[in-house]
Amino acid sequence: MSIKILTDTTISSLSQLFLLIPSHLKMLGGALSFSQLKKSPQRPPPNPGPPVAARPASNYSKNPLTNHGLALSYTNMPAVRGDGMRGLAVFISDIRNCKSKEAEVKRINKELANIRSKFKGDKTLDGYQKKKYVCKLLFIFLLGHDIDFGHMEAVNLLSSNKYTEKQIGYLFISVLISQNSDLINLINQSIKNDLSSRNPVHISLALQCIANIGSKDMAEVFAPDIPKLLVSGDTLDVVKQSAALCLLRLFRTDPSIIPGGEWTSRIIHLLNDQHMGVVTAASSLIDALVKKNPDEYKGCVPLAVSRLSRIVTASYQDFQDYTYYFVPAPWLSVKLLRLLQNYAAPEDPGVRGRLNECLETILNKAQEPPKSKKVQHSNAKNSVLFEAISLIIHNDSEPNLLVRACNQLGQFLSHRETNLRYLALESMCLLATSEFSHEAVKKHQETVINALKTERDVSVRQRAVDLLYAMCDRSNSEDIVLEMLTYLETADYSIREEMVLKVAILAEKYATDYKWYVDVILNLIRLAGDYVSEEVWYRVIQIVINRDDVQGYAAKTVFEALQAPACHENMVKVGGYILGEFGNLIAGDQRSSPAVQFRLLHSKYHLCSSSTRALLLTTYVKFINLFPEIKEQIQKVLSQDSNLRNADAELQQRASEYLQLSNVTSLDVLATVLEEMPPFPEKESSGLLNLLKKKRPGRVPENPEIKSGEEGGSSKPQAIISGGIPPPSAGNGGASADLLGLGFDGGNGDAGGSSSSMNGNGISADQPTDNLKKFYCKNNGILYENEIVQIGVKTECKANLARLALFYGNKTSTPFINFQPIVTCSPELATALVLQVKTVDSTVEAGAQFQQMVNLECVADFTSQPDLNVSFMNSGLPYKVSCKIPISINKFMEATEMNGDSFFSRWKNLSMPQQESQKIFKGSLPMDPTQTKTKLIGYGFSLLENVDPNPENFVCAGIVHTRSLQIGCLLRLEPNSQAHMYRLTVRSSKDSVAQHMCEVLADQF
Amino acid sequence: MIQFMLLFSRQGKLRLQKWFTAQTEKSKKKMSRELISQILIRKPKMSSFLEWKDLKIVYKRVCELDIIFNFEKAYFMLDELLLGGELQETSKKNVLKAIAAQDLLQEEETPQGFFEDAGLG
Repeated sequence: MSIKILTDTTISSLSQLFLLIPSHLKMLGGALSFSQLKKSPQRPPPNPGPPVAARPASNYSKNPLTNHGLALSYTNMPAVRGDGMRGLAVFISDIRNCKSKEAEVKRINKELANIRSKFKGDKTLDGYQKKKYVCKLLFIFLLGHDIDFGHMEAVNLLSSNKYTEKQIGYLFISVLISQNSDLINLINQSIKNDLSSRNPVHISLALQCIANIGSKDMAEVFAPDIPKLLVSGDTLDVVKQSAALCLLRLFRTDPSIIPGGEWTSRIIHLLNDQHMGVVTAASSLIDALVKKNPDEYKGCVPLAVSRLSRIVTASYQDFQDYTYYFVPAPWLSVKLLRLLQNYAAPEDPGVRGRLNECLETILNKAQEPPKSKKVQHSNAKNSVLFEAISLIIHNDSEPNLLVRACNQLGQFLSHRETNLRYLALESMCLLATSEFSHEAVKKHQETVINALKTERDVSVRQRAVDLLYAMCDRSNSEDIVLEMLTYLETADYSIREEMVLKVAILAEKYATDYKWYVDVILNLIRLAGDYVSEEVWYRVIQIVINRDDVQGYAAKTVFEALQAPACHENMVKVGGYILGEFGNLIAGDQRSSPAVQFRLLHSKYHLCSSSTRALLLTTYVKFINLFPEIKEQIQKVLSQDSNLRNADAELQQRASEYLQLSNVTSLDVLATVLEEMPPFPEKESSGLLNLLKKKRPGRVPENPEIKSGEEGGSSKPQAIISGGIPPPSAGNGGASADLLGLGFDGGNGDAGGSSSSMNGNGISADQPTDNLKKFYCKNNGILYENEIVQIGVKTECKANLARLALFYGNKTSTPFINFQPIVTCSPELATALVLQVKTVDSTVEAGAQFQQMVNLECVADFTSQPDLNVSFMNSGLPYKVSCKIPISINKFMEATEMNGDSFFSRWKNLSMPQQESQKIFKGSLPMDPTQTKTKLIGYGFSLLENVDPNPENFVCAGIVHTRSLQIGCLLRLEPNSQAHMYRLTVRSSKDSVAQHMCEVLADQF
Repeated sequence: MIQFMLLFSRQGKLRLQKWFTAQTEKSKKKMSRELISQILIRKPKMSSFLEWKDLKIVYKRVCELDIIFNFEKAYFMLDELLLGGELQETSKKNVLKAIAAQDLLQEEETPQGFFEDAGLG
C-alpha cells in the first residue's frame, strides 16, 4: 500500500487536486509496466502488477558488484527492453533485498566507491556509462544518503546528443544542484543551447529543467527567450505547454520578468488556443498574472467565459482526449472557474448571462443521474461543481444561484462520502458570509452540529467548527456556543486553542447578557484551561471591569468556581483579579465573607506559578483596602519569609512594598492608591481575532459580523464611537504585558494622581468643591464634591479624540435613586464637539462608586464646555448637581518639540495682528517656576528650553488636532518677579484659539 | 499551486518526492517525516484531507505501485503531467504519447548486448 500526498496552499484548488489523484496514479502505473503500455498505450491495465524478472541466475552471479553472499531474490527484477540500464536494476534489486539498514549502507558505500573509482579512473567513460552511474548516484540520493560528487559528470551529460543521456543529466541536476553551485554557468549554457535547438524534445527538457529549478539567475538569463517560445506560431503545442508553466515558475521567482504591452493580449489569447493542453497550461499562467495586475489582464474574462461555455455545453464525446470518465475537461473547467474568481461578476450583460448559463448548467448536471458508478466520475463532476459554487459565492450577485448552491451543498452534508461532507462544509462556510444565503445556511445548523458530534475525522470536525463559527449570529449564538463548549470537552488537542478563541469571540460578540459571557469564559477555563491563552482571560477581566452590571455576578461566579478542589491556574488568575476588584460586592454573605474569600484564594497560592502569585499579592493588598478587618491576616502572609524573601525578585518586591504600603498609609490614601481599576479602552475583540488568524494563517473562516480592525464596534449596544478610540498609551491598551496594570506603574498610578489633588484641595464636608479651572492643566482628579456625592474625572486623549470617565461616588449610607447624569452641549458647541455618552444604571448603592464613559471628538475648535446636570433622590430628598465637563481645546493639543530657529521662524509667520493674543496680569499664586512649568506642560504644550534669550521666560509649542484641521500654537510667558506680574503672548494659526488660550492661561498663575 | 508531492509506502518509505518550491534538504526531510507519520495514523474511512500547518494536504491510499525500478521514468512522466506545481497536460493519451516517444528514442540510442556480454550492465 502506498500513499500519495499533494499539497496546496489555496483551499479552492482542493477539488482540483483531489480529482488529479486517480488518473495520475494510473499513469504512473502505466509507466512502470512498460511493455504492456506499448501494446495498448491508451488504456493501461488497472492493476499493473510488478513485472517478473526474466534474467537467469547464472548471469546475475557474474556481476562482481552483487557478489556479496546475500540471498538474492529476483522476482522483483523488472523486465527490461532496450537497455533499461541493467546495472542500475541490479543495484536497486540488491538494495531492496538488504535485510537490514546496515547491509543497505554497506552496499551503498561499496557502490559509491565503485562509481568514484570509475569517474577518477584513466579510462574515459562513454555516455552510457556516465548516464548509468549518474543515475545510480541519483537513486542513492533519493534513498536519503548524501552525494558529494558526480555533478560534473551530470553536467557533461547535458551536452550529449543522445536524448536519454541528456534526460538523466537534467534529472540529476534538477534534483541535486544547489543554486549557488560553481557549475551553474555551465548548466545555463547547456540549457541555452537546448532552448535554441531544432529538436523540440530537447527544448522541452530545457524548459522542464528551468521550471524545476526556477532560480533567480535562471529568471534573469532565460526570461527573454521563453515568452517568444510561448506565442510563436512555429512552436509545438507540447513545447508551448512547458513554456507557459516555465514562465509561470520564473514569474513567481521574479515578477518583473513578464513583458507588458502587446504581450499581454497575446498571452491572454492563449485561452483561445485550439489545443486544450495549451489552454490548460496557459490558464495557470494567466491566473498568476491576473493576480498581480488584474486591470491589465481583464480581457481574459470574456475569453475564459466563452471557453468555459464551450466545455460545459459540450457532450463528453466532443473532447475525446480531454474527457475524463464522461466529464469534459474537468481540470480546465476548474482552472477557468478559478481564474474568474479574480474578478467581480462581469459587467457586460452578454458575458454575464453566458457565465450564469454555465453555472446553471453545472448545477443542473449535478442533479442528473451519474453516467458511471466509478468514483473518478463523481470526483470529476463534483470538482467542477464545487469550483462553480465557489465562483457563485465569490460573485455574490445572483440570489437564485446562491440558494441553489446552498441546497446542493446541503445535500452533500449528509452524503455517505466523507470527502463530499468535508468539501460541503468548507464551501458552506463561504456561503454563510453572503447576506443572500446566510439564512439559508442556518437551516442546516442541526446537521452541522451533528457532524461535530458524530464525524470520525478531525479534518471534517474542524470544518464543522468553522462553519458553526461562520453561521453564528445573534439568533443562534447561545445554541452554537453551547454546542462548541460541549464539543470542547472531547475535542482533539490540535484544535482546542483555536476553538477556545472562537468561542470567546462569539460569546463576546453576541452577548446580550454579560452574565452569560462570563459563564462562557469561565466554562472555557474549566473545560480547557490549558488552551485559554492570556488574551482570552485578559479580555474577560477587561469586560467585567468596564461593565458594572456584571461585576457582582462575576465575583459570585468566580468565588463558586474557586471552590472546586482542583481548579485551573487560569481560574485562579481570573478569580484573584475579580475578587480583588469586586470581592466587596459579595462580602455581605457570610459564606463569602472577606476572611473566607481570602482563605479560599490563599489555599491555591502555593500551587501556583510565580506570575499568578504576583497577581494574588496584588489581590491581597486590594483586600486590605476593601476589607480592613482582615488586614492583619493579610499582613501576616505578606511578611512570611516565603514572600518577603522569595528568590523571585518580583514577588519579593511586591510583598515588601505592599506590606509597607499597608503599614504607613492612612486609610484614605490606601483607598485612593488601591482604588478600583479604571475602565479599559473599549474595543472589540479584534485582538482575539488576530490571534486566531495567526493560529491558522489564511484559513480563518469569516463570520460576516466579526471583522478585525476598524470595522468592528458598530453593532454593539452602548458601545463607543464606532471605530473606537485608539488606546491612549502603550501601557493601557492592547494585550501588552502590563494590560492589567499590575505593574507598579500601571493603572494605579492614575489613581495616585487623583489622590494628591484630593489632599491638596483640602476638601471640606460642607462647601461643595468645584475644581473645573484646575482641569485645564490636568486630566485626572476630583471634579466636584459635596457631602453627598463625589464626581471624579479621568481623561485620555489622542489626536482629536478623547475619552472621559466620570466617576460618581455615593458618600451616603443610602442609595441614590433615579440617578440621572445628563450631559448637554449648547447648539454652537455641539457642532464643534461630538459627544457620545454611555447610559448608566439609575441606582447608585450606598457607598458605591461607578463610572460613566463619555467619548468626544473634536470637530472644530471651541471655547465653551458641555454641561453636566446630575439629578437623583437620596433619603427621599431630590438633589441636583450642575457643573461643567472639563474638556477644552487644549486637551486635543499635541506637544511639539522644535529648536530655537524653527520656533522663531514660526513665530514670525504668525505675525498678523489677529493671530496674536496678549495679556499682562498680576499673578494670584506665588511665583514658582517649577509650578509654572508643570502647568504649561499639563496644559498640553511642550516646553522649549534654551530658546528664549531670557532664561526666566517660558516658550512653548503645540498643535491642536481637530477633525479636519491642525492648529499650530506658540506661547511665550514672561514673568516679572519684582512686580509679581506676567506678560502672556499666544500666537496661533486660528485667532479664536489664541484668544481662548490666552484668557484661560492668564487665570492659572 | 501544488507545493510538493510525495509517494510513500505503508511502512513509511518515501518512494517518490517532488518539490515545487525551493526547500532545503533538511526541511524536506523534516516535512516528509512528520507528514508520513501523520497520514499513516489516519483511518481508512477518513477524508482525503488533512490541514497541516499552513498547508492543506490531499492524500490517497493506492494499491502497491512498484516504482522503485525505473524510478527515473516516474520523474520523467511527472514532468509531463505537472510542471512548476501546476497541471500541464491532463490528457492521458498525450502524456503517454510523450513517454512513448521518449522510449522510442531510448531504444534507438542504446547499443544492444554489448554491456551484458561484459557482465557489467
